[in-house]
Amino acid sequence: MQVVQVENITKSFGNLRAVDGISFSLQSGEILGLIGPNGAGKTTTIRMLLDIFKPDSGNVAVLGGPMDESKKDLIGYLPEERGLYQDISLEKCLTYLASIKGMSTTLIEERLGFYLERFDLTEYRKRKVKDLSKGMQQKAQIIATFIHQPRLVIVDEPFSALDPVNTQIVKDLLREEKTRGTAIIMSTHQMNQAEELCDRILLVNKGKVMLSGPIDQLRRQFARPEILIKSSAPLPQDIPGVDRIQTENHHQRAFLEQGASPQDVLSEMVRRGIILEQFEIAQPTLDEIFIQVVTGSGLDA
Amino acid sequence: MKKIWLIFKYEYIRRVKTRGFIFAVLSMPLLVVLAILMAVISVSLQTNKLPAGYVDLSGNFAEAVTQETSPNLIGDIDLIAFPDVSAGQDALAEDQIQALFVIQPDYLQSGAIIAYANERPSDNAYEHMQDFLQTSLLSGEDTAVQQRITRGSNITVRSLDGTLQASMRDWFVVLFPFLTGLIFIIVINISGGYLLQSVVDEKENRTMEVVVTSVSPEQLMTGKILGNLGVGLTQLLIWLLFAGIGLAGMQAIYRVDFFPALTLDQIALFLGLILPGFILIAALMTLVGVSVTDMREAQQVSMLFTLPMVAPYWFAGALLQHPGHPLSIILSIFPLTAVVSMPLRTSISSVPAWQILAAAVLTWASALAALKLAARGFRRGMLQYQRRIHLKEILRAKKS
Repeated sequence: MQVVQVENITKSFGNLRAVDGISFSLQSGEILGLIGPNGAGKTTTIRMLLDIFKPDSGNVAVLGGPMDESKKDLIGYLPEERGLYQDISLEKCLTYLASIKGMSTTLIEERLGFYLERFDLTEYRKRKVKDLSKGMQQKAQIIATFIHQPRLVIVDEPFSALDPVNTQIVKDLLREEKTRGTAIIMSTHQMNQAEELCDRILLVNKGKVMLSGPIDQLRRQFARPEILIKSSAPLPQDIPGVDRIQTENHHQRAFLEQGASPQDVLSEMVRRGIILEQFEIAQPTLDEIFIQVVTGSGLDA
Repeated sequence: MKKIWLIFKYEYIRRVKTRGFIFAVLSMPLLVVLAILMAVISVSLQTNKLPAGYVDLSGNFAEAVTQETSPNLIGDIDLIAFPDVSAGQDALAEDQIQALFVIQPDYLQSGAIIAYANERPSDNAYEHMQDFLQTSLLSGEDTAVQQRITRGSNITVRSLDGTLQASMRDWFVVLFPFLTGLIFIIVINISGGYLLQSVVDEKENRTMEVVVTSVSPEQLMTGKILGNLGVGLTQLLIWLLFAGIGLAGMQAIYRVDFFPALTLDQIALFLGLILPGFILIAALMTLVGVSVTDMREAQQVSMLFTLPMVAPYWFAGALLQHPGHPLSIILSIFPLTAVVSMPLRTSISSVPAWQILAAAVLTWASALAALKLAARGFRRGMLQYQRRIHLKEILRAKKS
């Protein structure tokens, strides 16, 4: 089921065009990685999805139609900067935020207990929010985002301030929600997390979509003619199709000649009796794709 | 409506449960009680409880009998007649009396009295002596004449068209708008202060960004205004309750009616102006809260409209002495000053209906315009962190 449909939206603030014709869609049970440099227009796009801003032009459809107040209870939002009431207890803060999402007191009590336990915050429920560590506050904010079991979740830097253990808990939660059918938009600068969790990527820069699609497809699109090889002995330099070989920390990198096939290079190595421990077509990481696209060096890749 | 109620409830409970609120609510009545108690103790300690004595050398008060005076805060004393000066002086020397008043033979012509005392006699001794002389001199007169001379005249001021009249003794007619205006200013400052803090805090700690994904900015703003107004009114009600208990106590002790009687006109006028007045200030406070970057700046900017609210008190003399003066008319029509000025003018003069109507219409129109502007400013400014929003931007901004 299509949960989000954004068509050619634009938004300007004075002379600044923050969003310039962005379009994308999102299905239930899908995680979309919204990535881009600072000031790219990600937050403005999110705020238009959440109906905080109205687009100057274009259409935003959420859960089957234009965004309205009734749909707010079906959406969860985790902002980049934590937004919790500091002077009240964790329990009161989360109860209030859940109540304005339309949850009954009984349901809040039930789910709050579950999530506090899951995030190891039960013993801190009576503690004032301001007395909690940044990591604990981030976990609290995550609880506030998911407690009402939304159908669309927008998370902005969800792993910020979390240690590896808690990062894993949040990853598991995101995967569970995806399995449950929740549509998730994850805005992040942590490309490894996006690679690990997202089905598709939407890379925006200067208010425009620079790149979009499934991660594997993007990797193939940006793949370079390079092979990572780990062998028992140094590789000979005269392998047909190989332009040069560079030794790196744990492997050697073979740069192929234009039009050379990795398959042919592999066959030649086997034919020569080279014992291979690793033979991998070097695909770019999301980080590398990001840098290429944003700096404009790889748009024609 | 349910979400507005939830926000209202949250804002209200969060405030009234704080130590600061409880302290603020209880401190004022406690201070008043303490001040009264201190005053009573101080006066009581300074007051001499011994009787006073007198000797009548004029012969005009031979038939006079000393009467009990009505109870007062200082306390009553007895007045004892002595046959001659030496008997009185002996009593004074033995500390049986605090003072001896000797009414001179030519008292009727000169009013001369010589008082003997070891130390300065207390005020109640003088007052009791004065009452005794006045009552005794009038003893031959009819009771009604006696009362009229001792109580004075009751002058009623009436307008030519007969629409307004006020008794000079009816102190409450003038005091009412003064007090209600003062209460309005106190309550709106308390509520406005809380509102301002709430908006600035939520903007600063980014909670607003989370909350507006659950409710509309208008719902959030309405809930906040109502919640914080409720806090101010609660504080006011508690103070009034204490005041009522105090007045009831005084009424029971002194058997004098301290409770004011209000006319429907007074209440209608006050409510007709105070309601839009509240909305106006609350909307302006909200607008300031979302437009500035921190609480300190918010307080400074909010003085732009909290100061004009007290302007009628600066010009109180002019308003009371010259209620028809252009300055008085302007003050009673201008929305920020009308709440205090108009009831004050109407209490002492006959104000043309068009002026009352103009004040009500202008205050309501300003309140609604401010509310609309605040809603627009709320949307525009709620997510602008570390940046001040100018009025021009808000005016130019579209609905969202």
